[in-house]
Amino acid sequence: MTALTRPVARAGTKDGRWRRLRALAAVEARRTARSTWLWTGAAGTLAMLSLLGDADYQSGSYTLATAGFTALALGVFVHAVHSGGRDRAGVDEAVAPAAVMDGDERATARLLGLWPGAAIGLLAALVLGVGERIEGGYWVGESLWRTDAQVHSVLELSQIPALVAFAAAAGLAAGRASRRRGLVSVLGAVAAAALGFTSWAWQWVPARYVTLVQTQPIELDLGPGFALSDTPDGWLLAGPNEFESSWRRVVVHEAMAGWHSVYLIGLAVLLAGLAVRGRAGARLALAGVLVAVTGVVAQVLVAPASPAV
Amino acid sequence: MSAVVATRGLTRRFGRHVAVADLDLRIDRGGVVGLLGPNGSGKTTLLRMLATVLSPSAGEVEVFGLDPTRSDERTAIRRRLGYLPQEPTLYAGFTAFDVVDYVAVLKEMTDRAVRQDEVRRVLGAVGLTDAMHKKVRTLSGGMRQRVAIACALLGTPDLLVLDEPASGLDPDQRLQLRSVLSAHGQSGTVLLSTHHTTEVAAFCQRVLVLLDGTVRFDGTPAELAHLAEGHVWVDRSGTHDPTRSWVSADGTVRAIGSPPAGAELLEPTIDDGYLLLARGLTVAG
Repeated sequence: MTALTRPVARAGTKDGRWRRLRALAAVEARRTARSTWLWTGAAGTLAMLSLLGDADYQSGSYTLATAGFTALALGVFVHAVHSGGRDRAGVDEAVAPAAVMDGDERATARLLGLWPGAAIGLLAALVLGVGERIEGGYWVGESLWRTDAQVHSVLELSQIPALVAFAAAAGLAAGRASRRRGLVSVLGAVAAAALGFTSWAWQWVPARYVTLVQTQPIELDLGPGFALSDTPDGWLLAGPNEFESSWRRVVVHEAMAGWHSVYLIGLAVLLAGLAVRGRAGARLALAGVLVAVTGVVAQVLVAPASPAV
Repeated sequence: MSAVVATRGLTRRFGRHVAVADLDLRIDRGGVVGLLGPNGSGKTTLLRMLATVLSPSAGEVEVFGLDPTRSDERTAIRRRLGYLPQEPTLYAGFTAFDVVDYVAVLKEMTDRAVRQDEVRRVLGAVGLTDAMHKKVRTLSGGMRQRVAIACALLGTPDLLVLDEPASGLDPDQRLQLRSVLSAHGQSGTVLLSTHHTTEVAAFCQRVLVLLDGTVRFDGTPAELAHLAEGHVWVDRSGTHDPTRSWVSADGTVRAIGSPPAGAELLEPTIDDGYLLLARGLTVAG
């Protein structure tokens, strides 16, 4: 150690709150962009998307395309757990407990610093949307002489960044609340596996309104009196198979997907509020609850009740 | 002279345990103040309250004339404060540079270029220039302690509150720490707790001895040593009481307390004065 030289910088300049939030968010964003967890999740999603086209059942690839993003969401979640838990790493006190930025400000900045994860989610959704439009879409209908392909709508694609945003907020809130980052990450992985790999299991009514990974299309039973000639040419249809005895109309319901994104964003805002805490956090959490409830109620209201919808 | 720290009836309880009791204290600007006391005497609790990370249960505390229990004033205090906790937390996966840089942001240094110059300066001040790009988890305990000290030094704060800064440092590093802190005491105020009376004797202008949450001594290191004047002697009785005597390097038994008649008195040290106070030997002996 040497004696102090003349200081070149001094704490305590009159920086505004937003300026210090931005500075810490920038540091956190650089760490997010370099996160092994994030890129491992992205690689997992890429691996799952590489299986598209291998599905041997109608709408299998269509469903997998969105469910595959749970791997990216998991990567963002685990990184966010570590970011949110930075100040819980010590036995007693946080790092620099007497610094100007308190725990709530740090959490806000860390939340903002997760933007590269959300950006990757958004970019991936765009690439998927453009790619499938170039490729001509996925096989979702199986009746002859009819349209049998479908691409994800913009509202469906919006579910991907919304899911990633949810994962970011959930990870941050969990990381700030618990010292056991390893256990929280494992629980996140279990949840991601349950919601992603088995996403088909969560599409029954009413679970499909509240599940985190909602996949489409929805199948609506056409009933016993069905005649192929009675249906409009534009309908996508699925025939009887080992699980279903009758024909079904295959519907990609954009409004439902859109409102499901609203629900996910509401949950993300709720969890962001829980992560940030304080008065601002309480306001965020309340707003999140309102948005999430609105999203669920709206899905129920717009959900197709009959094949003729 | 304006008080950097002033407390009146400052009290902190943890359940039924009173860690700091009705403490009145005033520390003026400039110099190095050493805080001595046995484990559990309330040193860390007092420092945490002065560093704005712990609220008092009763009484008043002012730092730079501001009230740390008020949010806006606490922020103003923190802008002028450097604090080293007893068990500092560092991010193990970060490099030393990244940890200090991160803390600099937490301390409101928002300009990246200026901040990074400052990070290099404080890491240089604690002798970690060569190790600044090593991950914290690979550093020795002493090096980690120096990283934490570097964090406290950021921005050359007007008040440095250091809880056992010499912990984990070897003698050479302790010497260097004295150099840094005594230099800091020329322009600002340093309040540090320690178990090493030699540290206090070496560079503190003022020493406080805290016992059971109250200040039992407030004076210079020489005055603390003087407390033991006439109470340190060569014990030739052959009955060696390990609570108040020990065999010194030259083979004689050095004892503290009330000497027997005709005992050969010795020149007291700050250690003797502190032990007399801490063990209540003046009364008991």
